[in-house]
Amino acid sequence: MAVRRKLLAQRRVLPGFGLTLGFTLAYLSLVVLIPLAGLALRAASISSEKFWSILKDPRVIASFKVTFGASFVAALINCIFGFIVAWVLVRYKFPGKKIVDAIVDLPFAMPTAVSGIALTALYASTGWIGKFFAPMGIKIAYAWPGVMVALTFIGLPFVVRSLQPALEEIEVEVEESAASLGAGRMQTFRKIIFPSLLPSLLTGFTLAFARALGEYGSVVFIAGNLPMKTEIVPLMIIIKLEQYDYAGATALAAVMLVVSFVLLLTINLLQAWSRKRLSP
Amino acid sequence: MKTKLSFQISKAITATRSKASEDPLWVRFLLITIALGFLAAFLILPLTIVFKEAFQNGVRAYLNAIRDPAALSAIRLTLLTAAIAVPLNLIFGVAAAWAIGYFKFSGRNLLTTLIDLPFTISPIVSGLIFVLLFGRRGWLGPFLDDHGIKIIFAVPGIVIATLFVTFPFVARELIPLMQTKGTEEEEAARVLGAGGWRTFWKITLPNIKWGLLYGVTLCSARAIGEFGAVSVVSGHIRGATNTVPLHVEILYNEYNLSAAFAVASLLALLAIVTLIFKSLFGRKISIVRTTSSIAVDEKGIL
Amino acid sequence: MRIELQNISKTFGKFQALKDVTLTVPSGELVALLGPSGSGKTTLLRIIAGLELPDNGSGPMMFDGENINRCPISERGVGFVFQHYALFHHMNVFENIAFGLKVRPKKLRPSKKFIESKVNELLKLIHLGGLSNRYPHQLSGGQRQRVALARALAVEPQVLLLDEPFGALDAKVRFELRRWLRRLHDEIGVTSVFVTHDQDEALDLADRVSVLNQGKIEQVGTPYEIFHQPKTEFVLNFLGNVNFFHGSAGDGKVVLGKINIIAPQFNHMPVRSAHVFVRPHQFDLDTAAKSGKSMPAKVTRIHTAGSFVRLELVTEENEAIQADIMPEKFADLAIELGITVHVHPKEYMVFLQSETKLQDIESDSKVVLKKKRSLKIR
Repeated sequence: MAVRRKLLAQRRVLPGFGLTLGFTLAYLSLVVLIPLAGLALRAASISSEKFWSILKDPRVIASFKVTFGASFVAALINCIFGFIVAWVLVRYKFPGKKIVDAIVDLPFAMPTAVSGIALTALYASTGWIGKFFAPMGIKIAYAWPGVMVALTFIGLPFVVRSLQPALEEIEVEVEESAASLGAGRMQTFRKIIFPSLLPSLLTGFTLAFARALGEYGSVVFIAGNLPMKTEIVPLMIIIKLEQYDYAGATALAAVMLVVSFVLLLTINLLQAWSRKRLSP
Repeated sequence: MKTKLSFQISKAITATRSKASEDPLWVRFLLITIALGFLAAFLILPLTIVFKEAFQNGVRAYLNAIRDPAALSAIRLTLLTAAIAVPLNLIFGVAAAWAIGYFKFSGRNLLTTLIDLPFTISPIVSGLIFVLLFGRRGWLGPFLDDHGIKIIFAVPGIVIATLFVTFPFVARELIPLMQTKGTEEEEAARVLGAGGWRTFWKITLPNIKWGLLYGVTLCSARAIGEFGAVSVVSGHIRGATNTVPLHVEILYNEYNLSAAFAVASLLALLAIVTLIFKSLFGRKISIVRTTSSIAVDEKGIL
Repeated sequence: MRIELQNISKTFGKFQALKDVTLTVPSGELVALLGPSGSGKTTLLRIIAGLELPDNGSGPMMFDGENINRCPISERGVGFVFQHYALFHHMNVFENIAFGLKVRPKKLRPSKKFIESKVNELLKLIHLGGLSNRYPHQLSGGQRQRVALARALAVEPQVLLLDEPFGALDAKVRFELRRWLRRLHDEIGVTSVFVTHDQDEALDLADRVSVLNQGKIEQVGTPYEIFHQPKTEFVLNFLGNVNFFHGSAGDGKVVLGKINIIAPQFNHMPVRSAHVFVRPHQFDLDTAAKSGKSMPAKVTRIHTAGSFVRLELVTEENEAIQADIMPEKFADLAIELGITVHVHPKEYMVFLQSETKLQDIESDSKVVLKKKRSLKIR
């Protein structure tokens, strides 16, 4: 059933346009835009030499590698397992499904500091999970895998929640049609089901990736924060702040902001694409 | 023409997927196992360990940790922050949703994207923004110094940073809701002679109350649980500028693990309550956003 | 290909959709499954397709004498067209139609060239020649339905099944596509079964109509047969408009209200209560009464837009009647609102209501004994 996208009222009929829009813009400017502008201006005032020298610092580069690398892998893992979780939640029936569905949002609802210390306790070499890997010499907490685990944790809901509506939209008849035309289940999945889910999957990936890039609380405990090894960019920003290196902090923050904007744009484009695809 | 009978029939039929669109039993079994296993490892275990560690030294130690003066002051500060930030963002959210959801104007998409910004910015960057503005070496630094006003490393800074990070939450819930809902009822009220405020209170508000409630819940949960941004602006002054999450960090760094987890368990409980709320009232909230941004176009929203 | 179904039952949870249905579809015919919502027609269609499995204990289903009960849908060689088309959104028209050919196992898969020519042939057949690159969301409803049909035909099915194929379309498009489907069927000749709740569609299109009600088949026959020779009250009521009277039959006559009709077929039968049915066009009208043969009725509405004039009347017993008369007659009698006319049934159908077991009655008209113990006599 198509949801009726009711056309918007003319300003004449419904009141309050001026008031609400005015207030919205004012509040937005005050709380968000002006502070952001402050950052932008500050960043712009750094000479490009200084800017590059900040970015070329080996420790900074290492932190970028850790952040982007771990975020990417984490988002990828979430794509695989998040897909399975979404599939199972939408298509199958099993006891406790409702609870499972609610729990998917846990990383989203849980304060990052709590997740951080919980994950650390879990994956330390004495932790419930960590102790299985310790004898094999694999260190999770206080090492790169730990960073990845934390980022996987916080990105999971994004993939699942992006996929669920798309999965629900798939009409049973389309699969039946494919079957009646002679396709096997795997063929139907590869050619019909998966392509229609691709936009949402990519959206979920990008959201998880973007969230992981900026994540601090969940990661900073489990990472161990070893310079050149497990420092993440947000931590670098704090370190520079503590050293009163405002320029350094600003430069890094500016880079992160630009990346955020680019990702936000990508997400919007992906969503527009998936909307176009899905609309009958 | 749907008679009651035909509705029952179609319900019964679609309750069982047809043979042609059903996955074989072994596939289902395997996938469910993988899914549940993954969720157990990644979600349930962390949650469990919070409580296990919290009670590691017994119930008394747990209660002591919570009743510790520093903890209590952290709780007070956290609640104060939320009490200021949430209502402000609530009013904003409603106003923004009214303007964006009910009216058409150029730049609507841009506005929505801008509102979503704090959601997409790293919390550290969010905190940094205000340090740059209000900090000692910030733009307004000297001015504030002269007047003896402390924002960064003081409570106002925490409130402002929290305001920033929780900015979009109510709006994100309400905007799609109001767009899908449409303006018919409000128009009908106007035609019948109701004034603007009247229409809002009696017609709009009751219709959006669940979305509103959920948005407020998310906003509050985030306000209480925010760590990164507040960490940057607070200065970690125990007893004065510590919120609950920061207090957890301090306890943890002091290796006072069980106390750290004890305080953390309060936050975990809050998270659980939020989840329960969502699952209970999920149906009443027609569109729940936890993920995608709320960019809008002619066709409406995803 | 001939389809035979025997004793098919299907239950969904507590609800029994089909109750012991037996049906034969002769090869090459276009058969309609007609009935109201909930009658089981779609379920029956889906069972033929293999989209649903009949209950255990149901009889065999045979395609050309071969039992296909165990055959999965992908191997039955049926083409299925869904009410809402079920086109693959992310594929264009060409890819949609080619799908069935492309998913064939490697050994049986035709060459790219063959697929291309086949698809183009079908596109021409459905008159969408230049649109192979379009995507479903760029097509109108009627176009989408034609693509769905072409897609089903591409794999050269032995049976074509259509589930309310025109249900989601505008009236005008529906009508055009009806014509077009009939022509297509005549050209291709594949055995086809379609489900509809629209009697006009069924009567217009089909070689044979099977009327279903509450999981059972009420009657199977040509459109003429089921309209003019309904075997049960349900069929009579379902098709076209009909006026219904409580009356009685027996003792050589049929009585409804003040009307006594001489009915020799009831000569040797005691009087019993009966349901008497008269179609609107079976009424004759006059301004003067024919004693004992007509009943008075007041004209409450007149509809003159149409090939005949439709009158809504109310009898003395406050029963509503509909009578259709020719425009000339209408003019002749100078009928106006509020006047009383006298209606007289030229033809009628009677279903006796009886509690006791019926005996076979010989007469010159067809008599059919039904399990429901109601006897129809013409």
